[in-house]
Amino acid sequence: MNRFLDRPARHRFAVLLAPEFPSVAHASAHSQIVELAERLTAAVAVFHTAMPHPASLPTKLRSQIGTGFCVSPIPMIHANDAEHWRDVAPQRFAALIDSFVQMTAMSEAAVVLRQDVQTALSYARWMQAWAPDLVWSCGAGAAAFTAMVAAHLLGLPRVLQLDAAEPSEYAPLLPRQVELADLVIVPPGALRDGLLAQVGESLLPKLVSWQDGHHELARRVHAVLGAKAVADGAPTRTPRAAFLTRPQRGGAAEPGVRPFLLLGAERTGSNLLVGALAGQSQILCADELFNPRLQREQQMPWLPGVTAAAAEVAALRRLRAADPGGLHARLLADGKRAGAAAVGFKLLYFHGLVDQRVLDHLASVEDLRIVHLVRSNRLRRWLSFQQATASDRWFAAATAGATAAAQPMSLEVPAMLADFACHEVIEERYRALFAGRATLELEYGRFVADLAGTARQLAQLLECPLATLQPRSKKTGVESLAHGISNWHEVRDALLGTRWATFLQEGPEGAEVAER
Amino acid sequence: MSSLYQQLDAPMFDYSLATLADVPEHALRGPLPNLNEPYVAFVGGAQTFARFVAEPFANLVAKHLGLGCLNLGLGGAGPRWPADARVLPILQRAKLVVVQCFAGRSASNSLFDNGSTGRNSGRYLFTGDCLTYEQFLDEVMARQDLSLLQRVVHETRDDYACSMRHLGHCLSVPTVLLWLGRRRPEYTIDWRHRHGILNHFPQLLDRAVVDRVRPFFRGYVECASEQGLPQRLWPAVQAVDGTVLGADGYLRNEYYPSPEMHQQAADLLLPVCRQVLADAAL
Repeated sequence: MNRFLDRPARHRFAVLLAPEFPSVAHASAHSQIVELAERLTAAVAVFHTAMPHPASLPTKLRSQIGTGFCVSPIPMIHANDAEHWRDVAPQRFAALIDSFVQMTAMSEAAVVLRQDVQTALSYARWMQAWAPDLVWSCGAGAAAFTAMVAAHLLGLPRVLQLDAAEPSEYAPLLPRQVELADLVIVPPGALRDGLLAQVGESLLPKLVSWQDGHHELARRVHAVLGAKAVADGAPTRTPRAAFLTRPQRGGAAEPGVRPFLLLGAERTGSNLLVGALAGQSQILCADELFNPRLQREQQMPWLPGVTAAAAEVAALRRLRAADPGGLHARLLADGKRAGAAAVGFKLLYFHGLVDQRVLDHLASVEDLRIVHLVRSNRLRRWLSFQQATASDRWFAAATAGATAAAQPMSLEVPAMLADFACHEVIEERYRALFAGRATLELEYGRFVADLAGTARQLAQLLECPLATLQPRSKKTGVESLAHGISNWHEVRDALLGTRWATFLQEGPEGAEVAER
Repeated sequence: MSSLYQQLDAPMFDYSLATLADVPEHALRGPLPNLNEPYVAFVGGAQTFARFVAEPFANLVAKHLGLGCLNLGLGGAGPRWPADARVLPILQRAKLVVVQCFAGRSASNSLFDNGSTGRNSGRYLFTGDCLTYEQFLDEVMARQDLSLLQRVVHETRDDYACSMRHLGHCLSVPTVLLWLGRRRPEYTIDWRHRHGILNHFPQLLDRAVVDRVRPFFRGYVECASEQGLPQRLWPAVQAVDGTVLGADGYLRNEYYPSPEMHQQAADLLLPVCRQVLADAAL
């Protein structure tokens, strides 16, 4: 299933409750919304950025872990999302920022730099990808602010649900929030009376309460959705790739050479595969061309065996900064000159998400073949990532002597769960971005166990013969999760009862895929 | 930064560094006045701090006005520094506040956030790295996207102007805005290189920015001069930060306002300050 590609003819409600989902505080509101959506045959997705510790949840809420739409909290990604909106919806973006400038007397830059604005722009981008028909938020706080931003940018109707007066830094915005919302669900009483006093009687047609009954609420929500029939019409959807890239002309074509991309998250076997490909005569694969850290350190990983003079490396670095597509074209040309039939490079998810130009370009490259590395056991990936981050040791040469066993790591549970959820959605995003391209998806556990089979699959994808894949690195992770995780019992208890419980299985990686 | 100046310049200058209890992390040029007695506050960058100058314009002006002198000049500071909630009340208790036009580079834009420092360094949003504004400009220029470059420069100036206007609006005491530099505000940007964009101190500011800010201050003084530059400093075997080693074996100051420029600034400020104080007394 891919949330960006699967688009049934049902309405969709993008729901914002709180940064964390699921949460005890919003469980009742969530249930109400889901029940109402079912009446309208609409799908609901809760957008959030964080996960609670499952130990804080009652059993019935544990099953909701991982069911939301987790937006990455990484600021560098947010910055690219702000640029995205500037490009794809310049008038709406300008009007939005200008309205905040008028309200706050801050500069435009100061408004855009506000963390809540950056976060809201990121949420809006993910919502754009999911293509909802309605944005629904609860409370008068950050969720309502985010919903206001997203609904404005997406041109969608918005439901504002207020359950009780609550202290919030956004309280001064409430009258404006109410004015801009299409429907305001508020209980009778002081809160409702206060809003009417602040905004005026013109607000009355927008007001509704859960106490009016589900039938009436469904009728009002349906009216907000517009003239589109809920049951029988396919709602208009945003073009699938609209949120992913900006339109570009086809690029990097180099006749006679097949471009490919080695794509994946960290710790999915990419070092192993890059190393194994280094011994091939017709395939050349560069390492992490767009790794921000390597860029900062002025490094330029290039094709194995194709050396460049220092002055040329400086020119390549300048090209990388100015024109990622140009650098890719140069890579293909150099690979062709070296006699390769297929030329590629490694791109980690993060590298594409922090420099929009890279994905804009890659999406435009005709005949780009994708080798997508995934690791089904996200717990093992996260553990390996944490170990590599802590030790800054990302690679162990196959020829190196016995390496010291990795020290057991303590894993912070909410951060771990958020990583699982974020990587799921990012994985889907990349699949959607390259949908329709010739793609080989390699599951870590399986391809490590069957390099010969992997070589055959690669040969087919890249249309060139492959010699035996010889690993140049060796596995650095632990064999047993129970031994590698110092708070193993906590992690195990947190995952039990969730859809990620299969990650707890010991034994060879990849096996859990077959069992699911 | 003040402590670094003192450390580097010790062979020739004693800046009498001192700290205020409310902002203990910043060493200020001393001696500090008694804040229970009338004082005039001067807020700005290294030019107000008066690196390489024994008698800053701030001291000259305060002495002639018969008021204590509180020098809140900090190297690299931008308009967010005086808006600090701990600093603003100190300014509000002054008889008069002279606000130097800070460098325009000490502000934010949508890709560079100097909010945590208020100075000429900040976070580059695309990478999360902490950069100086100059390094940030290099990064943007390397992308060879002129419209992006123009946008961030426009945003920086706008952010600067908003912060300065906010400061001027918040200050309920008499205020004077001071332009102090070796150039007038007018200049046309040359987008091809960094200096062409930034120009001399106060970097990045042009007449349009000054015109946006000026109405929020009661008085305005423009002191543009190069008199006394380069300034001969002390003999050394290698240059120290902010200086150039001359062929004669002496360090030279080519960047900071010279003692002569400080005297000129004081001469221009004094009548305006007197007028502003007189107007306030009416």
